[in-house]
Amino acid sequence: MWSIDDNSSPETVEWIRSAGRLPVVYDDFRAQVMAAAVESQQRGSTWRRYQASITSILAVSLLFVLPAYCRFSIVTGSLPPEARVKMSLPATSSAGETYEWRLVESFQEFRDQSARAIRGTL
Amino acid sequence: MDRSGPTAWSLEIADCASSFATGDVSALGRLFDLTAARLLRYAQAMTRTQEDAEDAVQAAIMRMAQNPRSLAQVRLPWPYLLKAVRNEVLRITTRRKPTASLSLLTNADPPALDVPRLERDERDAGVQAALQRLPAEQAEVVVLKIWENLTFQEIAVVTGESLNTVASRYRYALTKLEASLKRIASEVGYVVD
Repeated sequence: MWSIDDNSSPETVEWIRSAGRLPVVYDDFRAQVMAAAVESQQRGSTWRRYQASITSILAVSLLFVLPAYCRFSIVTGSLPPEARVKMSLPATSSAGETYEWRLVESFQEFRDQSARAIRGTL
Repeated sequence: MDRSGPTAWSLEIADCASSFATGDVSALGRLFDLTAARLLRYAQAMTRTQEDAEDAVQAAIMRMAQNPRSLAQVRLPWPYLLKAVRNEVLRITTRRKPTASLSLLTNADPPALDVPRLERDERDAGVQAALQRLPAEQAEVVVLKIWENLTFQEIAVVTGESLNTVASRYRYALTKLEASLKRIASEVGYVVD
């Protein structure tokens, strides 16, 4: 026997609560879900390994290849156009050293001129 | 109530989730045993069919399995699982009918009860029938609030709605449920005070 009072929300809530029976979960459904989930987990871990490999390759590229390319690009960019044509890496390296030595020389010359100018004003 | 409290419940789920995330596959089975019946009940409140509810639960658990850390990292694992099932319900609904949403289930014909009526006592059958006549989005809030003991805040997280919307849906649902239950009670000749 059950009854409903007017404006009896708490009681209604209690009746609803007590009617909340859980559905039966059958063994074959469980087995099916578990099999699919394990397969899905393996697929997921394969995908994560693949992602990790790609990330490593990208990181190595960024750390080593990019700086080398930048150096190559800077050196060849600073050379006259006829010297840029098909330049090998050893040649680039040698050209780079020459270029850097010239930079050092320019800096030393600039420093000496500045020092002379300062001495002249004193 | 068949649970010891939201915190203990969430702790059990979190324990299974963290074990599974560290590679213990049997934890997934424990997680299933802990949650499947509740997840099915929640999904059924929205899909209205056992087949779709099972599909939604299976898809949600598969997603968890694919990314074991996802559940282990969340602060509220039980609402997170419910939300995962809800997303799968919406996917299934959309797949069936591309323009469908949860609210379209509102106008569906009242379905047959999922469990034979004879197996339930009359009061429970009345409540179940009244719940299934509610719009799915209201039935969902009732299930989450009364059967799953979630707070309105948690329900808002699960449904992605505002707190006010959730509270309104709950209020409307209770008003309708109360009216339905009264009607059923008077039809079958029970006492209505």
